[in-house]
Amino acid sequence: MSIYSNVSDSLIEGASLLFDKKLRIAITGLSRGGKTALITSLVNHILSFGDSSLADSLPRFKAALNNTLLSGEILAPNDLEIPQFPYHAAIDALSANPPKWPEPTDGISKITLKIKYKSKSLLLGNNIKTLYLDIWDYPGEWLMDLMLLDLEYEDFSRFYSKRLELIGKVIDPGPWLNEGRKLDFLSNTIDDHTLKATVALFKEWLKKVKEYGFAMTLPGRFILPGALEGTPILEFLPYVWGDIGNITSKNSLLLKVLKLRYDGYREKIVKRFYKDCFSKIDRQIVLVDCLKALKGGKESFFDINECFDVLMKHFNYGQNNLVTRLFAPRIEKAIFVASKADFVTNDEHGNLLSLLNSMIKQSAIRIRAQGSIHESMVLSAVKATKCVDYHKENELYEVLITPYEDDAPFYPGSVPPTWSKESMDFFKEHFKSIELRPPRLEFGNNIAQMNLDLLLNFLLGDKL
Amino acid sequence: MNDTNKLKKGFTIDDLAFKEQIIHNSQENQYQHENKKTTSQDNQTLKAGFTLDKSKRDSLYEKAEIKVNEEGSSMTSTDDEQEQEEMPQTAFYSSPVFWGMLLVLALASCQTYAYVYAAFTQSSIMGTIVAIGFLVVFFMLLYTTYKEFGAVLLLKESDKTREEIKEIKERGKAKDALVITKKLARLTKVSDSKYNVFAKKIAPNFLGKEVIDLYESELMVNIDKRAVDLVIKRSAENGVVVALSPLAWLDMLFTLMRSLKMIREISEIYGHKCGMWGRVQLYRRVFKNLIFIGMSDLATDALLDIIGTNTLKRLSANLAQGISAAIFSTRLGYMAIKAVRPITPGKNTLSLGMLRKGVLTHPKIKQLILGEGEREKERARAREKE
Repeated sequence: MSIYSNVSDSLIEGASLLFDKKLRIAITGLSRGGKTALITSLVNHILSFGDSSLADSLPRFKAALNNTLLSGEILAPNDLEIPQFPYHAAIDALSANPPKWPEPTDGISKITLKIKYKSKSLLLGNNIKTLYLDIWDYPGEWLMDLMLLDLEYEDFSRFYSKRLELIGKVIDPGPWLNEGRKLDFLSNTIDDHTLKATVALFKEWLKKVKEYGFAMTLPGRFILPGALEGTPILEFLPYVWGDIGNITSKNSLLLKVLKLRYDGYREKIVKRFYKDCFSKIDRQIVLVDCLKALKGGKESFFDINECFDVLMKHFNYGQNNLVTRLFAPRIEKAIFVASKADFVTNDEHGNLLSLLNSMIKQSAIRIRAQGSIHESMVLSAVKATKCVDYHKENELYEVLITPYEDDAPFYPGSVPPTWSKESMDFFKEHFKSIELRPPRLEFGNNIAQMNLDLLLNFLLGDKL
Repeated sequence: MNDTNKLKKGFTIDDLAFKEQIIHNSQENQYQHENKKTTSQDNQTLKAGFTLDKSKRDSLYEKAEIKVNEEGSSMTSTDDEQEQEEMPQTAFYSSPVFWGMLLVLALASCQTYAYVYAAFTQSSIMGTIVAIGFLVVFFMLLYTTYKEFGAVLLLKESDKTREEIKEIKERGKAKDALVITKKLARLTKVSDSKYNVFAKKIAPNFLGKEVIDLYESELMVNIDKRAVDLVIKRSAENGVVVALSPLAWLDMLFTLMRSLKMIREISEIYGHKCGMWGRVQLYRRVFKNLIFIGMSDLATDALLDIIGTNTLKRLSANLAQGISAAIFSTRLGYMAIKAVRPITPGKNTLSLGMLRKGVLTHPKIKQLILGEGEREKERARAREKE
């Protein structure tokens, strides 16, 4: 029976791929970029497909406006090894009293949705069709690991030596560098105790680097180990205490061990992660937290820009044909999203969008060159503020208010449309933001959002 | 050069001051919705609104987000001077028609005076009756002129609306777009309830263009369909008449009449009630479009037309004339819609191809072609018999 059901499952999957009825969506975003919130909001709205009031909340989603959607539902997971995205837990958190943001992701998860819609065809007239959606979630911390796929241990070490010149100015790497100096790379034995201590200090430093706002924090599992906490595969370091070329020629035992662990990390963890989440995707959402990038200062801003450039190289873009769709799908459409747009007033969305466009310029060129379509937009997946008019000293401002009585209304200030030293300094000094609490999700309502209809229209519009 | 000059600093607002302003504003807004009942007394009660519970407060905030008041538009509309700048017009007193009219008017006044005077000399009762009759005629004329001017002004107003919409599509906000769409809805007689359903969908962060597009796809669709259907129907009728009529001058007269009627009907669908002078303005505009603006539309169409005429050659002369007349009539309809539709139609809304296809598949034309086919067969059979 199980063999039969397995075979039939694969057949159905094959058929749905062949007939272009399955879409795999990857949400690429660094940690705290709003991935979990976005997936929760997407699923929440997809579940109300077919609801007559949907066109009111998603008017720019053509399928909702034309009333061709019939239903949306979550399918039971067919992949038994991958946990299902905790949608219900996220909804519970948002509807709790007081509401909480959904827990940030600490592992890979997936959710499969089934959408039924009416379709008009010349041959069959009105008929009901089905579209399957696979959405993957994973911790943003792990995303940068994709970079390691191209780097051997030697390259990794050289990369780190270079990175230290930049990051070292902002976050002092002294403790782990000093501890690491105690390691004897030429000895025949390994001082396990010192190695562990150095790795621990390295991890601590890495966390600080991430907190400061840098995005290229490698290896990602050092910050968020998931189930691998304490395993030896996470006990390695880049060699930064001199030129690695000198020491490899001397046949160092410690270096061999470090290299072995690094290779294991790359092969077993990073490749698997890539294969699971990114190797077979049709559509990509790239979430960029522009405000966070600005707040981190010049180093962090350019670091995030570079990150996206490096990351995008790992994805295959282009239009699919029957063969590529089945065996090596390419990303046909990518959308760059400036997330957390509810942190700025509506009149600043134009600036936020042009800032995003300036950040993704290189990636966009690459995507276009490979024949894919891309778009950019501002979005708030779970909208926590409202924008209202306010007169101050005879000038009309749009200011933000939250549903909470104790939050003072505020005007966050301008977002610079492009990066410049002056605008960055101005932004850092004068931009006001508060820790936003999620609005309470009332029973029966959809999550409040901003521009989700545009996103849905871009992602699914051509399929529905 | 410091480019931070344009950037604004963030600030937080004293909660009390803010609430006072927002609740005041939103209440004002609410009252505007309720037929503008706002009085100073109402305002006094509204200010005490701090104690409202949270849910109510939220709903007030919602209302505060989008205000559709006619004055609220921040867009500056193009004024008439600007239009005149674009198209310099000759002064009215240089027109011979004007002087001719003035002469006629003077003669008519003299004649009227002479007539009334003559009536008074006959008897005072007769004189009074004639004088009253003339007065009535005079006032009727005045009234019609007034109405005619109204129609012309309406057309001018619609031009202004078009310009405003163009500007909003380029850089307007949702708020401005709502103001203009409300105006449009009133013009095209969209019911309030339908408009409110549409307005409910608009969030304050939408771009002006998105709101206008949504308005077109939600509330203009039916009107457009009516206009397109009308063009197709009238064109098909023209085609049939031309194909069947034996007299060329009758075709021409009929086609002219029907075409003028079609233009007027189209303008009515889009909310312009034309008087006589308004109609003349409208015809002038449509024909001007047909000559000047039409060139670009026709150029894209030329290739298809060549193929079309080749195919038409095979048909009998009368039928070919009929179909050509129908297709030309669709062009006129196309131009008429382009001239009066408050939002310039996009390619998906209206195209010559769409209208042509509609006409050629119209039952009447189909019947004509099929009939021709039958006749052709009969003729072939007759030839075979011979």
